[in-house]
Amino acid sequence: MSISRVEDAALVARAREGDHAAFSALVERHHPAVHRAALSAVGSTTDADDVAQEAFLLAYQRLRSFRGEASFKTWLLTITWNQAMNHRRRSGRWWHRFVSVDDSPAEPFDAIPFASGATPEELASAGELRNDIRQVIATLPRKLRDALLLAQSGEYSYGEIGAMLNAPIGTIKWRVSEARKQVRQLLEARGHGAGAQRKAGLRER
Amino acid sequence: MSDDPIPSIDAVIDDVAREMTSTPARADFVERVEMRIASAAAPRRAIWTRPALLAPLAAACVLVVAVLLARHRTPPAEQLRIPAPSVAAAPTIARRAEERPAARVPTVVPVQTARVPRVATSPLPKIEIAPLDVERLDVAPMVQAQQLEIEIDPIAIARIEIPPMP
Repeated sequence: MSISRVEDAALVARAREGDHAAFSALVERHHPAVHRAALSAVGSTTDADDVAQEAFLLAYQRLRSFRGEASFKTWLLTITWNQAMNHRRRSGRWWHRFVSVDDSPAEPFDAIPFASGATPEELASAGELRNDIRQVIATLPRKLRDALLLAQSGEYSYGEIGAMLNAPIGTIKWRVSEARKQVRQLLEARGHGAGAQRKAGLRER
Repeated sequence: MSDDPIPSIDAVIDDVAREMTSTPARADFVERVEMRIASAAAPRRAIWTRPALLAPLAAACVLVVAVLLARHRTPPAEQLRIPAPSVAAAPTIARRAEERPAARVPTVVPVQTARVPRVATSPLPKIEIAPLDVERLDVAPMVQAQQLEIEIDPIAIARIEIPPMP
């Protein structure tokens, strides 16, 4: 049987018996989710790499304590998030890496969603808007920002996010909604009101 | 993102949020994790057998033992021959005090005794003391005192005449 078809539980059982290939398969399978969670928390690819590696190493060492009450992915993501929080505490420079407006290249226009047939003015406004959204998200309270980034990554279910952030699903949903609301308010304060949004080719909510 | 051709601001917010965490891991990420796990799983040499730790530890132990031995070493013979100046020193100091001017002589001349180093561990020559000849003393038993009765006459006081004040 191909190892890609083997379920996590079976791979975990084999890894517990010392099968390194089985654990490598688990790493291969889950590293995008682990890396993305780490990146959501620490904000830098290099640091996220370190955190993700530490998380896998820790998971390997604690494999015997995994009782299968949650899925292996949830368990692994919880370890990852805890490692990321430790990293955050150690370094005070964790989040500012997301705010790289001045020294970062402009957003490629083809990556920006806009209405078909948008004018160059609309494209420029949309690029500016996305840049401001990035900055505004970076200034959100941590709990709201974490929930928004994890939820919008498309990698995790609300249950998995709840396990990582140690909060009920309802709370996570509220945080995501509240994060969006605060981003909208902060954008309006920056001059991205309804008129500016129309200018950027966006429809009103 | 919604299928709506004109996105709302929320859709753009969500898209930017997704983009902020979309940087993929390094290509060799899995290999590096495997290497770390392999190195962590390799049997480690016990920390106490590492030469880098053992060498300074051994040197420190030798140093401690050397210091202890030096402190507990028997003092040299010259130190044992230092005369005990306890009795001889006192008159000397008292005499010096007499030579000074009278005004400066304190009422009580302090007698200083020099410190005699304690040499507990040095073997001293055994002193043999001959037994002293003492004549036998016969002491008579104590005589029990007789009970005496003392009679005391009453005290007679002569009358004192005091003339009236003028």
